[in-house]
Amino acid sequence: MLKQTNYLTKVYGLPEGFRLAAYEREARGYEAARRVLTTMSPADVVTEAKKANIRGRGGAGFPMGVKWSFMKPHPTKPSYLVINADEGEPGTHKDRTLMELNPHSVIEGCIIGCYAIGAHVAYIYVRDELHLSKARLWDAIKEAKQKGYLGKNPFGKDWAVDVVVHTGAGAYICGEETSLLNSLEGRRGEPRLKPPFPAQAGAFGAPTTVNNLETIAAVPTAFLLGCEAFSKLSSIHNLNDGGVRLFGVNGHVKRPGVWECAVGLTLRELIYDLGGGLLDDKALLAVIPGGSSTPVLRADDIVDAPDEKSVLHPWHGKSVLDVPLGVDTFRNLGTMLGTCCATVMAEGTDPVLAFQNLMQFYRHESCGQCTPCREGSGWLLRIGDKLLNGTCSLEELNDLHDIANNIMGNTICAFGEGTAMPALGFLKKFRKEFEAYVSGERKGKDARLTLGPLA
Amino acid sequence: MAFALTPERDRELTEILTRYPTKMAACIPALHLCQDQNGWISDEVVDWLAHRLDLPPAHVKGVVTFYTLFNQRPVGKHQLWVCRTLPCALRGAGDVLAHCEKRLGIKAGETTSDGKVTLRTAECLASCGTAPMVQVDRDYHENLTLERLDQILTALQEGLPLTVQTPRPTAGSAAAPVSARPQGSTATGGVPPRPASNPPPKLPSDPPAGRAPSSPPKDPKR
Repeated sequence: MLKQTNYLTKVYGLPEGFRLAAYEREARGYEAARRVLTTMSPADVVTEAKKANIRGRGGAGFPMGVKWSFMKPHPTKPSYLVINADEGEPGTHKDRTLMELNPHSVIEGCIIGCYAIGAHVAYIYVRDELHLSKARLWDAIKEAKQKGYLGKNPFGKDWAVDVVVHTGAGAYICGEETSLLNSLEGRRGEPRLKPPFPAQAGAFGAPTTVNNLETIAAVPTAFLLGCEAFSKLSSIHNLNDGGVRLFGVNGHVKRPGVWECAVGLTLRELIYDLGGGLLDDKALLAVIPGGSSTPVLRADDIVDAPDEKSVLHPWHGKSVLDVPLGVDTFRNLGTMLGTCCATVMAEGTDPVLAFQNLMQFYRHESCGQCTPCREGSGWLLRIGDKLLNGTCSLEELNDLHDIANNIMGNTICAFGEGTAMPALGFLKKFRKEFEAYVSGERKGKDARLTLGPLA
Repeated sequence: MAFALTPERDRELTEILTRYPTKMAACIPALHLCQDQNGWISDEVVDWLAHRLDLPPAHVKGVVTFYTLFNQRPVGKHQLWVCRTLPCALRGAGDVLAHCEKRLGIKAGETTSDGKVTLRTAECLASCGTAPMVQVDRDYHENLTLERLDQILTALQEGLPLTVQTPRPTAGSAAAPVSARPQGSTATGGVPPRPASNPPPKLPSDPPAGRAPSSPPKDPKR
């Protein structure tokens, strides 16, 4: 259901909207943090936060409140809140808008989050390329410190809190939470084995919660409205998927961009109502629902959920474009909600070239720690290359399944799945096009991703 | 040649060290400082920083070789990164790269013979809603057209100042549809304006916890 809101984005278009003054004036900034710190206990905050049904906005969709509840104080070590703003999933461009245009929502969310989990420091891990985002966050921290919202006695409470911006250096894998922690500690960004989970031994060996930046930015709004009321803004509140979030659309649409809507928007609404439809009014070929690691959906895919107990049963027989964008609904579709930023491909786009483009990405970004991922991502790319230059045999095409399936589940982190799932997704949904390259009907030199030359 | 951070940058590093419980955690921010000064991370830089942070040189070297943004050899005065990943590719990143290579006379990964520009491809730079794009040093140039790309390349070749033409979000940046502004004045992929029939929801003036907003957002189209 299309229901545009502007809780997170109210200050987006305003002059100096990223300043504290605008945030306080227009969005009742820091009211929630003040109330939380002065009237609630940390345990109450966690209990209340669970009611907001904020599913992690970074892609995995884990309930934020539940994650907070895993935090137990360590006898000798402090606890940490770490915010993941290493936005780098191809097709994802939402966190950047928050950092640049509404950084105070992030800082306020950090204050509430730190209080809830018993941390005194929040590290915001921002990818280094986003220089404006880092500057805006630092400015926001400075403003909040001047006002006394950060520091030794925020809102008069005897409970110190500080926020620090930390930068990466251009590695996609550092968006994986344990890899991010290694990078924060000044190491190579190689993922760690779990357990121990970050809540037991995270940053600097201390209990740590890692939240996505958009997740933490939604916290002030949730507490301002009341967490249950916030959750009920969503049309799939009954699936424990609550609140509002940022939806992005990019690729072959007339109006690419980011919108804030209640959870429960459909892809059709995102592409046609918000995105303005496809460029040149072309037909839709396929859409990657939430970042490149989420398996692709075809425009002609139909929901098959005859079982009445299935989450998807209400949409049985309908187009996948009409299913609400939710963590559980999309998981049951055989794909993932991911980051809720959809990449749209129009009729005429070559799916094999798209596959090969993405495999270049994964080949480049694999950290190299686990053999199946390090070698497998290279194999997948080489088969993509061979398909495009017309030297791939049917046997090699079939090997794609084996290679991808041997990556999945055999790696330390989810990057392996993130590589294998989209590879298998493209192969499953566009088998005919892949085979056309084997038979020579299609040729790499004719393959196009764009609808026309750059203007 | 021995390397050392300038006193000003060294003070900054000292401040950075106060943010973390370990010295090692300052490794990546410190490497950025060193690279800002030196242009790339030479073995001298590695040795100096290892000594400064009480780390084995092998640790620092390991970090340098892991991350894409640390240059392991000298680069041009300016770095031009062309995002090549799918969302940009769907909107013409291939043409952007080809045009850069043609005008600069080099391939991706190379530096012009006058040492002015190093051309590189980048993996997704979180600018998918404003594709295609390039990053020049620290700045993003988004919603590129060939004309704008030519301006950027000319400025780089002739050493002219280069302004970010995608205006950063200030007054009224969301006042017109993104599609109406090919130069994309909503810097970050923009939140397009709300339809007039869909007034922004007001936050309740005094919400007791647990109450719904007093005027919930209206459903605009259906």
